[in-house]
Amino acid sequence: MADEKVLENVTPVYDDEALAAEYLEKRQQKIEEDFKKPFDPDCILEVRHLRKCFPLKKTITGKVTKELVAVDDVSFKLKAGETLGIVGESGCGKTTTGRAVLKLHQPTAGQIIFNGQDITNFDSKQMRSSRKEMQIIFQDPYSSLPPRSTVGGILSEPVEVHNIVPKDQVKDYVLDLMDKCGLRDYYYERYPHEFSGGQRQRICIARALSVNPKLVICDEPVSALDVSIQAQIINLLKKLQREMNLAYVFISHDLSVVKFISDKIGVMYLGSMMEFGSKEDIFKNPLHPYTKALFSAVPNPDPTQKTERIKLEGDIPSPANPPKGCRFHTRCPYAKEVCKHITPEYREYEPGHFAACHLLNEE
Amino acid sequence: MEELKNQQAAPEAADSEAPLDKNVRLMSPTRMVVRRFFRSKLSILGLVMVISLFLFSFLGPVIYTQWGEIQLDESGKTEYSIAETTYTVNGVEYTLRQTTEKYLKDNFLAPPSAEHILGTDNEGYDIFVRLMYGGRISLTVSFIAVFLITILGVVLGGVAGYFGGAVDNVIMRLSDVLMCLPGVPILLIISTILDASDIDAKYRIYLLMVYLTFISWTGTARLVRGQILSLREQEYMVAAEAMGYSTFRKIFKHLVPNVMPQLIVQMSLSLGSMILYEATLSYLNLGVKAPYAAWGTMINIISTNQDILQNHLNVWVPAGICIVIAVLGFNFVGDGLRDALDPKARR
Amino acid sequence: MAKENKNYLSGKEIRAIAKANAKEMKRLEAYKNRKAEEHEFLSQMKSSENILEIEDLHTFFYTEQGVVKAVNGVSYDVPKNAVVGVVGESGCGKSVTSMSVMRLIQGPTGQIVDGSIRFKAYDYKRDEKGNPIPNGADGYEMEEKVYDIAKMPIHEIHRIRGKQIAMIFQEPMTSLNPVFTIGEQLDEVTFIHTPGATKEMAKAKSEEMLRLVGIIPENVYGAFPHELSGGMRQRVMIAMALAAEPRLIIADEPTTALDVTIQAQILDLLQDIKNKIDGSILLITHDLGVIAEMADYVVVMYAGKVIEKGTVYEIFQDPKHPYTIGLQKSKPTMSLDDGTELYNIPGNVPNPINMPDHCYFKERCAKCTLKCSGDYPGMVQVSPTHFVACHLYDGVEDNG
Repeated sequence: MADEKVLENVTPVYDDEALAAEYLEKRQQKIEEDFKKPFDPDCILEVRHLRKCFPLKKTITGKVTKELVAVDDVSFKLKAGETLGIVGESGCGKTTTGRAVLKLHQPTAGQIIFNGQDITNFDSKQMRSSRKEMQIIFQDPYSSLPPRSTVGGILSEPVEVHNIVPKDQVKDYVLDLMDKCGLRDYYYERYPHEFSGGQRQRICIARALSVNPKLVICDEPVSALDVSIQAQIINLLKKLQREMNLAYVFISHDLSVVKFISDKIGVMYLGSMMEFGSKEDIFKNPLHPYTKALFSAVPNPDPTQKTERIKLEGDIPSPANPPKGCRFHTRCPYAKEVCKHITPEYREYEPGHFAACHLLNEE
Repeated sequence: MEELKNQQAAPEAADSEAPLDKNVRLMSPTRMVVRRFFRSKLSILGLVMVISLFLFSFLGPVIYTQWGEIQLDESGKTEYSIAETTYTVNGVEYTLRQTTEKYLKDNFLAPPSAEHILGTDNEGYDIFVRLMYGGRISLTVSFIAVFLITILGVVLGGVAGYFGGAVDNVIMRLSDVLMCLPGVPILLIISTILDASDIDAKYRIYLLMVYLTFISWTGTARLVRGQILSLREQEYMVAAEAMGYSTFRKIFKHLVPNVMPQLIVQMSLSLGSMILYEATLSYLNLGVKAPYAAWGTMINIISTNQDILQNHLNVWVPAGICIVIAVLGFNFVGDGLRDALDPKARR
Repeated sequence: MAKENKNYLSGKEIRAIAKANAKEMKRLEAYKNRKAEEHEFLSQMKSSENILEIEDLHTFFYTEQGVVKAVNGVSYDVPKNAVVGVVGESGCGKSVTSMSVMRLIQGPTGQIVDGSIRFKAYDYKRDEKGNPIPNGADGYEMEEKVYDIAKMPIHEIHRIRGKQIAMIFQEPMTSLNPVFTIGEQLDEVTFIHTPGATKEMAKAKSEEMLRLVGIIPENVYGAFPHELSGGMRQRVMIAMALAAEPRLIIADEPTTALDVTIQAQILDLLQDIKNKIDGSILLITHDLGVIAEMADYVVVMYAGKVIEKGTVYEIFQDPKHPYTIGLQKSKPTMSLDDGTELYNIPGNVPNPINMPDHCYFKERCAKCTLKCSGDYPGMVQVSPTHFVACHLYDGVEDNG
């Protein structure tokens, strides 16, 4: 069923119809082959050719006439206890990817394999038991806590719902958890609005961890925080990862934070994965021109060093109306004719180092 | 080396944070709401008005037992009427003064006195006592109506907001249709039907209010739906989804408590309008019927006799004042609550 | 209410706070709305090199929970043709300071309580009645005057706001009016600040400004704000700020809401503009990287006080205050190779109500000494341009 959807949604990339059909067929074959591959037993999370579209316009009968492709053909693997960082600018689909992995958005196509199970087509009842294995931390610590519950209430609710510990031990368990996350015991009776952003984010982390998950999606968890508090939260996340052997998908627009916390990094632009690899690969040997430009755009907090910037002209195109061919060609300083028509293939150039760029194929 | 020292110093420094954190004392959430409510003079006035009306209506008849609701003052009354006739005989003017003394069984239209604090009406009922009983009816009826409206509104609005799609469409179009119905003409028709089917005068008002509920839930439903739509987008609801909570828990433990403030405001505001509705119905002689008292019926007396409108203000003005106090009171309280409970209006 | 919680204020305390606040607010509000002759708010600059001098500024917010001392004795200068960066975490008072300069503090809760903001304006020469004097040609006579903005009555503020000092806000999405075209909004600036401007003049000026910020006017002049992207809107905001030819531009977190690649474009633009215009920029941000790239002078603020100020090299290469040092170390950088743990400042920014008498940073400071429990440290000069407020440097005065 998922396969049919992919076929419908792939955009023709060539003006020449015959070539376009050939390209589509080849790509479709590859996707189908990938879907049949066995699950990697080392990986806690495997995402294959994930695609998520949102309807923009509907006819009265409910037929979708225009859609926004938020995530297009994203694949990655994540081992237990590892951190995958996803970087990208606004509208690149990093948040949608995170939520689709948790099935908070039903993926349009693709496969999500979590803990050796294909959860892509789980219904909400089947998902409910898997929920405690995978959790999410949000960017905004102000809107992600219910305003009318006390901290104790917020933290004990999931514990009770999922029967993590017997009823009479819930309070001790929660206090222990609060201590782990650097929250004081007298916060138990207090309401979220009494806390600063950093403390609230600690509460969010404690809530996510209260059900002993294996995977936590961190959706920009430090972006709304001050620098000194950011460092505290990052350290806390790292400490908890070591203690509980958590796998993180760390979504952020801040390259330096991603670099610090991640083992593997994926760079996204307008819904597509541009480059994926280990941290060393990405930072020491970036392949994609977008990755290079992104790195050079980060302001350097050292006034004596002036970085040579790779200037990117223009704005990020709207995800509702992405450019044909390579998504990046409108801003790419090295764009060629071929980039305007053909979507580059996402390929492994070095072991574990993937990229999607035509320039790399020429050498 | 220095780095290392800092690392070790960190936990202690974090400990010393506690006192600083502890000595900052904020307002508790309840106190914040109470404080914001009482900051406005109008809401205090409203609260006083509402409470005194309640005491007057519900406690009044218990304390002041001199007269009952449908107890006529049969002490009798002598009515004098003087007729003067002037006629001229041979250029001399004569005035004939004729005094008629008439003894009546009921003491009606008595002026305010120690016996009748506000006098009696055209039948001989004590106005003061009837004001209390009228208040009982008005307040009970409007409370019941608002309660029903809220239940209906929360259920329908909640369902529409939470599930969306076709369910939402059906409920919202239904509410559109109901909003198009002209209220008073239909009430007139229903009242005629009730008259024809010989319903006890005491209960017809309740039946009419049920009909009112049926056409007035739309406002509450829209409010609840809107609130739920916006709350659903809040990240804590997404977090609840990610936690794998059941739909029931999500709606009743996470959504509904957050709609409560707006609901309370809406309820107190619609109490005022329900009292007005009840008074209108009674005034049009559709609601509570004689001999039972309601504020509307008490004003309606003026339509029987023009003399009362002009010369016996004590008969109908107090009922009018009661209506004004009730409606204003509930509106003030409602406005005060809105300012107090709405965090966006915080200043 | 039977269960009294020690963490919360009691009703009695709340009433006492409200009473004290009402009195203060009434007094300050009256001062703000008073009528005053021009000479009452004219002043003298301490140094002719400066365009703006903020001295001992106190801006308080009278809230129900107590007085929030958002700006508590802040002093810094903005020299001519320089970029001064103010850096600090949220709630440190950096934005409130700039809002005080623009007199945009929302009364009656927010009030400038004390201090002076001296600004060297280039304004119309006025006769005794306060009217501008025409210069014979189609303009008016101009002169340099020093206004004390903190003492200005609020209705006189139009003399400087927008015209002499312009502001660029953080949110490019909400700071443009959605019902007017970009052209109309830009023209308006010229109409307001140039007496007798014609439509053609305004349009020419607007197009010139748009070109200055790197926009082709034909595409944007007739467009509505929602048709533009965030980066374009921020460019338009900068064009609007420039249209009145201000002597000082306050940029309050101008790039925080933008993506990295767009932020790089805007920073380049600001650099470029700084060289083109004859004015100073006051850049307010929490991003040390932006400060390092843009600023000539840096002011570090913490909990309503300036804790360190100096040139950009002094602050970044030889930071003195433990907070400044910690702030720089706790930011993961692109060049940093991963250690196991990131340096972090423990604790939280103190709540601005009920501030202690001692150094506000004491609770989070790894280097605090016995002396730190004493008075709040004064400013110590460690080099001609470098000042720090910390007891560690008491007596380390610069000797040349």
